[in-house]
Amino acid sequence: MNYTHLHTITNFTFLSGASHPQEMVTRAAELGYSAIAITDECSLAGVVKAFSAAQKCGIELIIGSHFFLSNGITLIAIAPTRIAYAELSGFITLARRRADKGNYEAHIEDLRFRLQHCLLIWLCDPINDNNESTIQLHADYLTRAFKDRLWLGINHQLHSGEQQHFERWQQLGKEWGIPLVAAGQALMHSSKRKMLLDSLTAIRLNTEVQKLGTQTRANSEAYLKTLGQLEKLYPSALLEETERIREQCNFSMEELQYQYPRELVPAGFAPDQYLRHLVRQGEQQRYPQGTPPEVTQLIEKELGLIIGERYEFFFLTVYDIVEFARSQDILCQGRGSAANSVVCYCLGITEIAPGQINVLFERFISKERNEPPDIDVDFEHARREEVIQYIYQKYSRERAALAATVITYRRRSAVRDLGKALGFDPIFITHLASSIAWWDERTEWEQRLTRLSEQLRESNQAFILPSQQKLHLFFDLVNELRGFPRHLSQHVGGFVIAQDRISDLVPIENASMPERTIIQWDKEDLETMRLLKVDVLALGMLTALKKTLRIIQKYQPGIQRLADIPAEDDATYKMLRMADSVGVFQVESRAQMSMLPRLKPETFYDLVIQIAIVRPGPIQGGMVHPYLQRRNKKEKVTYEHDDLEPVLKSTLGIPIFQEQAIRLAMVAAGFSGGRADELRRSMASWGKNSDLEKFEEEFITGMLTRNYSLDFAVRLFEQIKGFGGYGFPESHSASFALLCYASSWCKRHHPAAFYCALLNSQPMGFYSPSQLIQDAKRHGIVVLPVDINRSEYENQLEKTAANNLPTEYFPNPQPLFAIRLGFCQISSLNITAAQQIARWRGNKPFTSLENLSRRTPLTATDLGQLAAADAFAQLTGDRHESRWQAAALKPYISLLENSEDQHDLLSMPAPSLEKDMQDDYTSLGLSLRTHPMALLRNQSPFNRCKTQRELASIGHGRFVRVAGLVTGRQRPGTAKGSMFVTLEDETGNINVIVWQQTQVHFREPLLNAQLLMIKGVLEINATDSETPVIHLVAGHLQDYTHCLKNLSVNSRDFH
Amino acid sequence: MTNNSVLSPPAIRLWLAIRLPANVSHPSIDTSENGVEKKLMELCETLYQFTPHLQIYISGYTNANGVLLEISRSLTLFGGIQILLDAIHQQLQIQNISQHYHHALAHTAQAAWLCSFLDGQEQHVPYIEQKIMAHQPEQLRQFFREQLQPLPVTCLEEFPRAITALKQTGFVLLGDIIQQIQVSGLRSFTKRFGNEFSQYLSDMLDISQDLQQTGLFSAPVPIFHPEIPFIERVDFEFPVAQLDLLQPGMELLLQKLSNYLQQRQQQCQMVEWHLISIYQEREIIRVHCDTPQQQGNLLLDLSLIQLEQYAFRFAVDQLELHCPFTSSLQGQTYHLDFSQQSPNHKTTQDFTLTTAKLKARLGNSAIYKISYKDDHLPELTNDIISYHKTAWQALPVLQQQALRPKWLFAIPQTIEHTATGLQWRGHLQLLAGPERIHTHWWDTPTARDYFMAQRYDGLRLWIFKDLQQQRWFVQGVFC
Repeated sequence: MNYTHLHTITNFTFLSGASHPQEMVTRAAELGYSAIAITDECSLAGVVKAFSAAQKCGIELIIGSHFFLSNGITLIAIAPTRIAYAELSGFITLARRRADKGNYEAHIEDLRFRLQHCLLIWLCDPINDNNESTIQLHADYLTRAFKDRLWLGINHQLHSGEQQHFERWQQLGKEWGIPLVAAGQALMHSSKRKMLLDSLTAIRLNTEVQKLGTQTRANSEAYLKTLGQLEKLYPSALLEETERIREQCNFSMEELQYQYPRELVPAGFAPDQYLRHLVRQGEQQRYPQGTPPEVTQLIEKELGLIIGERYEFFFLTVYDIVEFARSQDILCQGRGSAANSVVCYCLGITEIAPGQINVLFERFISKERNEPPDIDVDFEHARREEVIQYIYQKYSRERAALAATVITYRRRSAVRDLGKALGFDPIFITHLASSIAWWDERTEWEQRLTRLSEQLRESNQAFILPSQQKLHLFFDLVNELRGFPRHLSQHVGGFVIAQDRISDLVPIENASMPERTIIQWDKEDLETMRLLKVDVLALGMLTALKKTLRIIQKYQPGIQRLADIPAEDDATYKMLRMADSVGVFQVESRAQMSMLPRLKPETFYDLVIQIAIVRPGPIQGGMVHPYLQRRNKKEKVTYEHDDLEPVLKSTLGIPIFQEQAIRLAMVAAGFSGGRADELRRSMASWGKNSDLEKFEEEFITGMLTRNYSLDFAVRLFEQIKGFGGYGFPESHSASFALLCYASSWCKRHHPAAFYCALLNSQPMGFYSPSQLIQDAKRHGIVVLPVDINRSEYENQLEKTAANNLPTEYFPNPQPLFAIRLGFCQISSLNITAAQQIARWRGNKPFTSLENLSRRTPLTATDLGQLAAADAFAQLTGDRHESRWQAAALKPYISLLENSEDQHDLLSMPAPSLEKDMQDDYTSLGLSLRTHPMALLRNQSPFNRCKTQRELASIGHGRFVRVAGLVTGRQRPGTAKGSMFVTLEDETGNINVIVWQQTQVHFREPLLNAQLLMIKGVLEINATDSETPVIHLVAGHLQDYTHCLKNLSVNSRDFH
Repeated sequence: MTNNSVLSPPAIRLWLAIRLPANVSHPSIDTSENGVEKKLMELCETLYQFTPHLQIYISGYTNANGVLLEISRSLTLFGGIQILLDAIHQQLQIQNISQHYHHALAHTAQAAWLCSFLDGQEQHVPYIEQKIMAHQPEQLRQFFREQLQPLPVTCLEEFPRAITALKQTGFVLLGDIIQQIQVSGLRSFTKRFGNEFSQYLSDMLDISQDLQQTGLFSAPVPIFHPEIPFIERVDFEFPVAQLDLLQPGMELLLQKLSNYLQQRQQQCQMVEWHLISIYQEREIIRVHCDTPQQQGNLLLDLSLIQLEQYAFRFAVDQLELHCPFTSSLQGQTYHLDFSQQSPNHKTTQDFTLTTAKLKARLGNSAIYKISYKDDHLPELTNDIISYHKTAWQALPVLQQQALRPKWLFAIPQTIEHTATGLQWRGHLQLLAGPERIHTHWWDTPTARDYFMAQRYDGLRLWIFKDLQQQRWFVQGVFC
């Protein structure tokens, strides 16, 4: 018997379906169905995933959607052709766009005029369809509108009275000449998902499963049944009718072709001519002395590939966006190997010149794959919105939309929602969710949960604990729910731009941000469907660099653009070798910092390697140690075969970049460019499925035929597997390295401007403003407080007589600048007011608070916020007096005469240092006064702790105790369960390693403490670097947060 | 010439604060809002014997509450402060709260209240007494100001915003505020924290603008008016022991109650009948009504029903009607039914009477309701609920449409499955089905296939096969 399943609701009908589209399709293939239709409710969000699975299983996929119309009709629309697909997608767009995010509004009138090629299955609803006259009216309307494209869908779920309803609908079918078809609804691929299905219903209805009553499914029959079961449920004619519908469906997702926008080519030009023209223009600018012959050759090769694959429009689209940014003075930079091609260099999309890195252009443009190149363009994060609005304006909302990001359940969210759905006590759920660390494995989590239950049970707390049986159910459900889609959100910046309406390709719906629309597919779906996506990304460092340059050019006009920064500056590299990289792009994390003294970068290319090597791929592939050995000349650089030298020479014979893995496959194993790229894609999805292993045999055989040893071939493939999904492409690394170098140079030569710009570009980067200021102060930069008579809105440089820059570090006289904090640092101050204060002040400083109040329209709240930030200290003397005076000012003060007694002195003393610090943190999130640790230093037990500065002079292996504010917690997947904690004291940052066993013992302080005292063994690695790498291996941790009282310190925790 | 001599100084006042602690777990103190107010009213009534100048204090911010007494006018009568305090303590002992209160003296009500938070601080009663006797108000004021100084500013709980601002400006104790007033007067507080706060300080310290300037006008001292509950009595010409002889008296008293309630726009839900014999023996019968009443008709009916069951222990010489609790008529909303004849109104009255009769005869617990309970499992779809709760009567559509018998067994009956087929008091034949119910995985997983079956005699049954036990049961009978 042949059968097509026509009614499948996947988990992309959020919180309704209980199986992934892939599970549905795979199960349908296992059951021997001819085809399966994915019919999510007013959505095509899951169809691409189903399509991928269908291709793998070799089952036919039909695209459809399920609708509840506003007049009560329930139906499935199926797209048998490409035109019908466009209609369906357009109809979903219409229904979604007229409702709020996550909802839709579909009317039967729209259906009639918009779905002129779709097949319709009218679903009989035995519960709600009980008004005979209404049914007759609907039947009349639908048969007239859809004639021979209409079926009556029979959905047998072993509910009460189905037999009678079937007879009634059979009669209706006869009466109106509508054929009947089996359309049993599947919400699960297997009936075992019933528990999850009910739980999802409870989550959707925001109640508990126990309270759902008849709102749950009465049974677990909504699953994909065997053919035998179906034969028992439906008359054979109804099952055969499913095949008749399938036979009418000729549409395949592969037919979805994509047209790039064409209006970018001016009249009189063919697209290829215009691209050549632009490249030629750029060439003249880039090489005023004449283009070197090897570059000309490369340009021709690349243009040949681009034009051959008809990607001119893609490059022109990116060029157009970048040109707009440039015209608006928005800093931007392209990324990726296509972006780092010579063509893009000439088009101004990238600043990476040919020869700086080894571009593997085939990676993104391959003749074997009809797949578009991927270019990411980073823009200043503060101005990216302007670029987005430009795209919308130029291409309209019908032709441009953002890609979606599917928000899925993680363990913590699954615990919260399922705990609530199972009726667990809210206190218990909170305990449960907070006890889960991001690194927990299932087994240890289960053990912890059991322990927690026992502890709570013993503590006799006033709440009810779930039974052991329920906890077991809960474990299983949490694991099933993990990875389930929860809702669609907008991608960080992936734009899809088309020549015609995008809704012909994929439905568009409203995003939560007003005036934003997203398509229903995510990045992976777009890649699968080979659709063009331009990533318009926001990068904080570009904003920071732009602002830095703007400050520098005020006193050193020679530095205006990134290109003006001198290349290969020794002092800059020296600074990086000393791991002095707080605030520097890409190399500011703790792992990068500890690598810098070991890798000792001396050139730009070293930075490219530095950025790529501290990644899970090279670390797990075991590439780091051999590379460092070779770089430090402790190991000879050798190659297994001469053919490998050109591929691996730049990285001393060790594969570090993703491109090298692909090149190795091509050079050593004889893979074609396209096949090698398939390998790359498999590497990217390694871990989620075992696709990569299918290349193993081909790879090893290929190498053996090229006379490589079996041992080497196996080892190389293992290394490639080690790269997993985490290998970093050289092309991305190079673009990042450029910004890394620029930011390092700024930090080295213009530290005040650099820190000032970083502070003005927040939020960005790895460190909080407080940490950046601590670092600036350690570099001798004077940071001045917010002052009503000196501050601007943003932080500014201010000429100062005193400058503490260390002479050994800055031998040449530096401009004497201090950073004056701006009003922008006062988080709760009204932005509009904050931006106007400097204008109101002009050149005439405020003489008193009354004077300020008379000259500005600042409200009492604004004045209070300024007083709280101690911005009036120069006028009043101290914060208490500021607040006292500010509280007395009234908006009507301008009506009063000067003689009016406004000034009544406060009899309270000035606040203590501790109090001032607390208020600084509350108002500004930072304090320029003494570091909190310096205040605590004389107290026990902190007086017995070593400071960061003292650690270097203590011997390796010594037992010490340290204390500090917790400013970072990291537990990288590559660290074999170790956790890295950063403590900040008054002298610097202390790096602490906490082994797994220690984490178990000191879990609470480790997770929650803001101020930690740690006892441990000092590890100093000073053998092969100018700057020793110092770590403390923790043995004992103790939480002293209570000593901070109200000081609130934000730690940066990374998953 | 001093400020004090411009106008004649106000008389010396002495306030006593009695503060009941927050969250006290004494059984005699009901900590619910109404309970507290009631308790404080009772306390006032008790303390009324010492002074008529009483006021209740209930904090809107903390659980603290208590009573403030102005006692200066009672000192002579009771022979001094200490004696008066002892008498009050004795009375509070009778009230059973003597272990649970704090008290303090001061020259203003607010100051006395705040001083009651000064636990353990001696108030030197003889010194206070001496200053009063010597009529030295300024020294007394100074004394109490000093008493107030160590209190934290947070005790000004009625002004939370002012407290935050004061703390942020460096003020820690009330002494800091007093010091600031000394430097710049009350004006500096008025313009920062408003008139209300400033007025509070002024009232608390009994000053006008600064510490030297005493309040020009004395605030009037509140006078407590104890509530007089409704108590009316009829004397019979001869002792009666029959209900029909009592009834005219009852009607008369209830008419008086109706007039009383109407005049005060009040209503009541409970009355007490006090039956008193010639020997002053007393029996109390309480009559409750579900809805508040202003007219006596229903109360009379309910009283008669209750008294029908009553066995007179003695002949009644006097009959009293007490109505201790009344509530405002405005708190109630009514339908506009001027005739009072609408069917609903009549039904409600009848139903109230019927249920009152049933309750009177069978007891409260004997009356209950049956409600629908939403569940897939048939035996769990009904629930017995209290008479006062609202029953769920509208069935969900799913249940309305489903094939369900009128009569369901609370416990499904076992069916024999023999070689000849299914047997339950006769042979059964399946007619329709199955309807599958597979649910309750979270407590007792249940999986059943339901069928309609017909017995040899034509009786139609609703039966199911338990898919886990593989056994058959009868769930109900179709009528």
